[in-house]
Amino acid sequence: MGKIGIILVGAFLLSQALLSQVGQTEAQAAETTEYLITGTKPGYIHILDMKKQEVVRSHKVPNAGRTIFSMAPSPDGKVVYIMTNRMKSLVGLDIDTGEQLFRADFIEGNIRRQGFFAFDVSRDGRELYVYQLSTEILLSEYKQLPTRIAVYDTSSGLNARPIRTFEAPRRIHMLMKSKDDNWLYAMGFDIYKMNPETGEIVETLPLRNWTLENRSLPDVLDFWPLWDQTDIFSTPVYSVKTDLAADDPAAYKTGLLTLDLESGKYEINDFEDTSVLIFSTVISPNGKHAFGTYTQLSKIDLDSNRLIGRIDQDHTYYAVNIAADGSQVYVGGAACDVATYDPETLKKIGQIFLPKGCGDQSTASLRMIQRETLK
Amino acid sequence: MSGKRGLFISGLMLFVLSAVLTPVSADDSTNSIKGKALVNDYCAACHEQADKGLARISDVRKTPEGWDMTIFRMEHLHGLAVDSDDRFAIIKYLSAENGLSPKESAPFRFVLEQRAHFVDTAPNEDLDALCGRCHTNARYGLQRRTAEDWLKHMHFHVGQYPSLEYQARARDRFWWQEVTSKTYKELAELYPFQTADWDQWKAAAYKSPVGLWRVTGHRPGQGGYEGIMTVSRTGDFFKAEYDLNDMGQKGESITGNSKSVVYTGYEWRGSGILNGIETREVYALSEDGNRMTGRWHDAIHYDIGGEFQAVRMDGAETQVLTKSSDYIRQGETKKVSLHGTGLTGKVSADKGLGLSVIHQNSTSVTLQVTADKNAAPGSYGVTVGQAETAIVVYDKIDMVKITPEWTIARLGGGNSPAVSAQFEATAYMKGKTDEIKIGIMPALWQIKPFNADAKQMKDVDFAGRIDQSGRFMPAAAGPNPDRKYSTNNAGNLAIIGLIKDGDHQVSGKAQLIVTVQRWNLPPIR
Repeated sequence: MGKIGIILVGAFLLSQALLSQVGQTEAQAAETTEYLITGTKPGYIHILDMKKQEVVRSHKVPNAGRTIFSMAPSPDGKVVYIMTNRMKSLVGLDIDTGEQLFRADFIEGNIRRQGFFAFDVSRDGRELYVYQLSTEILLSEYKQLPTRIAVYDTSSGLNARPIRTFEAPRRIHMLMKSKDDNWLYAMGFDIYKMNPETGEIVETLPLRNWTLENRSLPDVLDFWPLWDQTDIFSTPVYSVKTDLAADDPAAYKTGLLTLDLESGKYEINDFEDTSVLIFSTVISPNGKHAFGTYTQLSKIDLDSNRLIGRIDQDHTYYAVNIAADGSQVYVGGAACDVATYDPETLKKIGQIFLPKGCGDQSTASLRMIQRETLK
Repeated sequence: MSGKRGLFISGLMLFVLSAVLTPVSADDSTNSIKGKALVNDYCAACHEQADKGLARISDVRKTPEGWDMTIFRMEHLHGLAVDSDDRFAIIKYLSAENGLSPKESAPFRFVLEQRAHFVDTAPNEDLDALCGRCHTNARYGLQRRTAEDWLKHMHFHVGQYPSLEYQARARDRFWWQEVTSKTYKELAELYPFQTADWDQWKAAAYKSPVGLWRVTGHRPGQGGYEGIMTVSRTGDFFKAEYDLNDMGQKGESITGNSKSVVYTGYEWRGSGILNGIETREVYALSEDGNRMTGRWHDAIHYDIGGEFQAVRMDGAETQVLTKSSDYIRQGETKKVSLHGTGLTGKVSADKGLGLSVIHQNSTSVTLQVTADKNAAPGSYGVTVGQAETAIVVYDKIDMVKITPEWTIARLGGGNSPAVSAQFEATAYMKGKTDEIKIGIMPALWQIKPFNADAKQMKDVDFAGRIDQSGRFMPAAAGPNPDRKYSTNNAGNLAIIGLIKDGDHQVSGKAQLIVTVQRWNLPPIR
């Protein structure tokens, strides 16, 4: 664990340096503010100023159906891309005006294509990567076609078609672009490091194929892209020690998987005997802690890989994110509010209720952006 | 989904009711010609003509409910528009041409009968995970397909429900690889399209249910009932008239009638009224046509209903089918009625049980029964001519068992009515080697937290209430701001039934999980 600590501190220093540079540059141009983006039924996204604890924009997503699924902001924080329409469309909205700037409806003649949360935007803002299941609807039967990743050009407008596609393994639930834009990570049974031009898998980071002795297969399902502040993807991993009795609580382990999208560093470390469920996690900007959410908010020390704090929340929240300066932790997803916690004390210090006849955030992502202040 | 659910609930009965308005030919061969023509009219535009019939349709066999669900899917996913008369005729035709034999449907009748409580066991752990994690095992056990069609079914499944590969108990396996290389073949072996049993049943002459039937049954929580059903035929439909008597505490007479269709020669589906309550009937006619068994239930609350069995009166053997009580205490005198057919013979009982006949005819015998105060506890034979039954003499209740031993109830809200759970308390006494069942008795009912978590979450305060018939009625669904975590009213409860036995009480315990509502209610879950 010492190693990851050092790496995280290194990443932190680097990101702080970059942030301060960006901060200086933008300070001369315009005032910037940090915003949180979430989505609610029926088909709305909301932009929240977390320091002021208020909703500053709510936009109806065109032809969204009821549910907003995963979201990814453009690097400049001007556009948010949204998986919606029962995951059959990807929509890009202007965060300020709500104008639809990009739309890819995946259907292609008699081929029904559907995503499963997994998509990401390239770090240069030019390309979108979407995992798709494809079903050919024949006269009297359905036929599965190979699962694939479709790449879209963000400047394609409202009738975007893929600029290239490649086959991908099945059961992908997360796509992540490396910080240098050279690689695309696809998470499914394992994590596949792919060439984003060709789809060639250059490395397989083991998950199902992990080699821990006396250990069950790991169980992971995460579709919350929450690495905005650190470029480190993290997710809880559940497994069972097979050399312990089934009624021994110590047999059930919760671990934290981390993948540094900058360095490629990949680790899985147990941090507790499973006592509660955690749906998603976020790494603190200083790299020292992870926060996990479901019915409890949990705080994990990454130096010692130990659980160091846990509180019961008012209700279940699926997604957790954090302020760029690490001063506040935010939970959302499920129900119609976003709560703010003090990361030191885990005391609730704020709660923002979402408007527009909110009927649940469901599995909407909770993304953080830093951009020119919205007037 | 709410609109769909509404249609699903009505299901087959809609056709029964609407089709009643239109005169339909009574002749089965005419129906067959009409049904075939309708299937061609409605289905052949997409289902290509293949060697032995229309593609897919001719490779599959299903129950009437299964065909109903197929048509429902075609309506909602593929734009089929079919009026209810034609829909009924198509289901009747397909159930006759490509249905299930009585033996094939027998293991899964609990699902067709819309039981709220049943224990469902998959053929093996893989199928339990692959199919049984979302469906009852009846859902696939009530289908017969060619191997090729089971494979097409896998393609359909993931195309329609892409998330299924990601769900717990699917994501731990290479789901697609497994279902397309192994599972479809296994299903084709377990549930093959072609069977000698079906060929034989399809070729057999179907028996008519017309006639007089001796009915007996049991309403959980209410007690037994008995009486007569008279079945007549009008066109495609059968009319049943019920003249029944409740043998439980209410002692009321139960009257009413129903209109029914018999699909596939044995699948009786009725829609009726019993004592002013709208009912649905799911019965199976035996292969020899002399017995009907199944369940009827409240049209809206499928959890409320009655066990049903009927035997044909004409030429029936001498038999006791039910009785008003199964037990008597040492030294007690009470009335016990025996109900059955051919009960004209001499009544006698084993020594220790005194009998006098109060009333006797061919279907019922009412007896004054006295258990000798020195009669050894145990089972005492009672005979009416050749018919045999038994009454248990007991001295003391040693144990109470609650049935079901564990079950679920569902919270209700919006378009999903709550699903109650009905418990009954059965008394037992110690025998020489094992316990002897005395019988179902009235009990005092209580709910308690099942474990420490349930106590801490105050499940007893939130999950619902139990009435003194042993029926647990769950609370409303949805997040409850009065609960910790604003969680819903789910709960884990111990159901306690106390039976008074003289000056002492004996209790039994069951477990009830109160869980969330179902979001869809297809005829086959």
